Amino acid sequence: MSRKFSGVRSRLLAVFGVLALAGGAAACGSDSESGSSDAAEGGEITLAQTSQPDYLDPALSYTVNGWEPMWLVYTPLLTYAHEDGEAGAELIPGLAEDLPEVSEDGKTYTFQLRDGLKYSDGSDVVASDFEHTIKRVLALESGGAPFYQSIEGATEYLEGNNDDADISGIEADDKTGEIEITLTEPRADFQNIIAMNFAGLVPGDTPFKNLTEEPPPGVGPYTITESVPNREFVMERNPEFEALEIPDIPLGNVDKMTTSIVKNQAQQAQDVLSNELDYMQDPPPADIKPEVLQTVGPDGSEEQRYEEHVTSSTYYFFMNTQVAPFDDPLVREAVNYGIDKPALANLFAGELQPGCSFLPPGMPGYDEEFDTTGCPYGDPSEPPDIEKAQELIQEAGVEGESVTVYGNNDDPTDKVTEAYADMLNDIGLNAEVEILDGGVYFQTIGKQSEEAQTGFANWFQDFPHPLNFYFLVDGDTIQPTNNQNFGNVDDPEINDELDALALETDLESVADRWAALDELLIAPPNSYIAPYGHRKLATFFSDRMDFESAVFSPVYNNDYSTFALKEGE
Amino acid sequence: MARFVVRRLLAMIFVLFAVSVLTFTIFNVIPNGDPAVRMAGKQPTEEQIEQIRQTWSFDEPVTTQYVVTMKKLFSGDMISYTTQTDVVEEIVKGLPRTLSLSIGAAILWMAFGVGFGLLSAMKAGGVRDKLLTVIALIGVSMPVFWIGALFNYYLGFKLGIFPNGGYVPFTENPIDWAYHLILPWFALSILFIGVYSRVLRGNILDTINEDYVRTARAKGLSERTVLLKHVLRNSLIPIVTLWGLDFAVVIGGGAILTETVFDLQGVGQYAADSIGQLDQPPIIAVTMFGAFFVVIVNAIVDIGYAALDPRVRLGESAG
Repeated sequence: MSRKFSGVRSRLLAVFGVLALAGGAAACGSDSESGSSDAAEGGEITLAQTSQPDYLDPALSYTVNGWEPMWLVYTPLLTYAHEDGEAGAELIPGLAEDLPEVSEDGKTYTFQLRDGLKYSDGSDVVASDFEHTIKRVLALESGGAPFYQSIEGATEYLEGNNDDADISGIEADDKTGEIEITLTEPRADFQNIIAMNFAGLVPGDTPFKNLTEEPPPGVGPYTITESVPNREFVMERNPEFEALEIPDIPLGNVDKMTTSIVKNQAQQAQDVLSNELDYMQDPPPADIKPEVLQTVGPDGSEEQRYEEHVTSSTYYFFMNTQVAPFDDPLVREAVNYGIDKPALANLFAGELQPGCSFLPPGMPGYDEEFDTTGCPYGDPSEPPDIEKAQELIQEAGVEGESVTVYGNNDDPTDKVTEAYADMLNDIGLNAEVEILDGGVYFQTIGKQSEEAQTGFANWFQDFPHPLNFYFLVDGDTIQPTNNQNFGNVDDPEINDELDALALETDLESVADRWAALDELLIAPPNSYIAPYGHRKLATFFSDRMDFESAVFSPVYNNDYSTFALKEGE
Repeated sequence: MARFVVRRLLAMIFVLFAVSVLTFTIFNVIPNGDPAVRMAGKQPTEEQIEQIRQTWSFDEPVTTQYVVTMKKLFSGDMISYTTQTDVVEEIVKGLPRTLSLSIGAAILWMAFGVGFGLLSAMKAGGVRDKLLTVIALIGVSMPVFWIGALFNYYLGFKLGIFPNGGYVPFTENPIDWAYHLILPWFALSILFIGVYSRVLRGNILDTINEDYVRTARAKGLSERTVLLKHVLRNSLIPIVTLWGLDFAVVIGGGAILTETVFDLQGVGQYAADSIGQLDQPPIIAVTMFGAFFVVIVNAIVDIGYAALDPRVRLGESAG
């Protein structure tokens, strides 16, 4: 998914992992079955997104706008618990009876499909639908295709241009419901990949084309009954779902949810305040936020309508380790000392939690102390140590050296880039800004011939596994074009540890090693990147909604299946 | 006359061709604007990008790509690179909204522009004229996005007198349709009302001392008859021409800001979104759509002039 924040433009976009703030988690509640006494069953609500979901077809969608609603429409073999905070990052069986059996070599995964599953149109779910689902992801050239190319035969299928061909690494038995997947090599995050929305099962006769206007049937508490791109889409209860009795997947509270595409965020916020709209996906824009905060009730109160959450995201500045002056570790260290993180947070209207770690909150391996008071460059909530940074620049002998800082014209990235350039000037470099269009920014800095020295970068998780962040600094991923390792970080120690951790399927047991890797990446003497915080997102409801029922998933954001009206609404 | 019409139509086709070439070229020279890479998602492989290039003909020479694009446009097969939705279908979906806005606003600015212009000219130099002059200048000075935002915030959100943006189709509920469009109509027309009233005032003052007006007065006609039948009718000719062109410009993209502020999601807003995403097919299609309206109205005006005034036709021939 795109690194852009959808509210600002919308357009390019990101799937956010979201974590309830420690203090906010309790207020937000985790009663996924709407146990709140004020919550009503049934009713209709209206929602708004700023931009049309890229697709309403599970094979193709790769944005939060698409994933947030479709999580409840297309259930994969595995999925995530409908819980707040870290509990919501737990993988649970979806359409599979249980978590898979994994072979000793880590290459073969065996799933057993639940009995009696039916799609929303009443047709039966069979094991071979899984292969068809993956074939659609590959054949439609989906943004998700690379994830499934680790399946044996997937690349050959992709290159063969024959939709009906077989993927040799997937064996499905419709009689027994067994699905066996063989990988080309072990991959520790494969279960997370199976749990991605791309792999939400669709019937075996689903056409190989974008079905956004007529979304295919799925298995989930809701079904999409109407879809008019760029206007609205409607989700209604799936009449088949309750009888399936799939544990840990809520049935949903409201009967019907109509999501309108309203491109004016201020208008959305005003409509939520006046109860014309029940929920807006993006946070209220900065100019109307004070009015929102004055109107919504205090945290924990009956009147509460607003809460901010820290997402599983990291904002950082890349520094090209192959280009002077950032090929000198002292310069990178100086930059880390010189970044004014609280000032940058202000540019996000406070919707950025200053931080120091690459791994975001909620991710296995995240070290809260390292991200806050234990940051080697000082507490991120405090002003920077400019003097120390200046000393390091002088020690490196690069005082006054010209640096071009790359950024794009999305709000507030442009302002962040300008501020970063000012900070580099403050520590003794001679920085100037190069602002590119948001649509071409990452392509440009990902082209080696551009030799981009330093600039803006960010990442929102696709799934809660550290590998989904660390490929950004893996030396093995460096390529001439479309390079995601913008700083060309290529440290043998990091690369080797990543190779080893990529084989470890039990994340909890290696969480310390991930934390150590984060320190190796960020702390002196390497200082390969300069993180400055984690983005926040909001839950903002009308007065009609029961705030206590709502769950904020760390993977999919606001969990629509827990949305409920107050009694009497 | 037939020759003149044919020549005008050929010129129109040439202009549309030039617009399409320019738009296509601009998009293709934008640095790093490789649509295949943008379509390939966040972590694309080189193979995947190559496959997209082949599927969408991005690996063909630019001239071939242009021809393919135009073929797709005129056959209705043009697909957005970003959303892969049918571009022509999106324009057709947005057109009723854009037309609803434009037609209503055009009627308003013509009616108020003429009314204010007439009232101003009737007592030129008087208090009413001065007051209307100030009002017209304020109208001309207020950008539509600002006045639109003010309307929305105070009349829509704060006072709740009007809807806070949005659109209801005429076929669904005509009253709601008009109710949702009142603020956008006024926001869009205020600028034009100011301009038209000033232009008309000037025209009337120029005409009012013409010989034929003096003759009409000498014949004993009432001042009201002189003003309405002789002065206003002649003064309106350039205004009507201007109105036709402005109307075409508004439909062809001039309403972008109004549509965006009031979230009407017409063709203009579709254009604005597509530009934000550097999404070439809708940009080309909407540009062509806009150019078509401007050029066709221009051609109609020229042909109408030629029919009314033989000197125009002769002038063209001589040229």
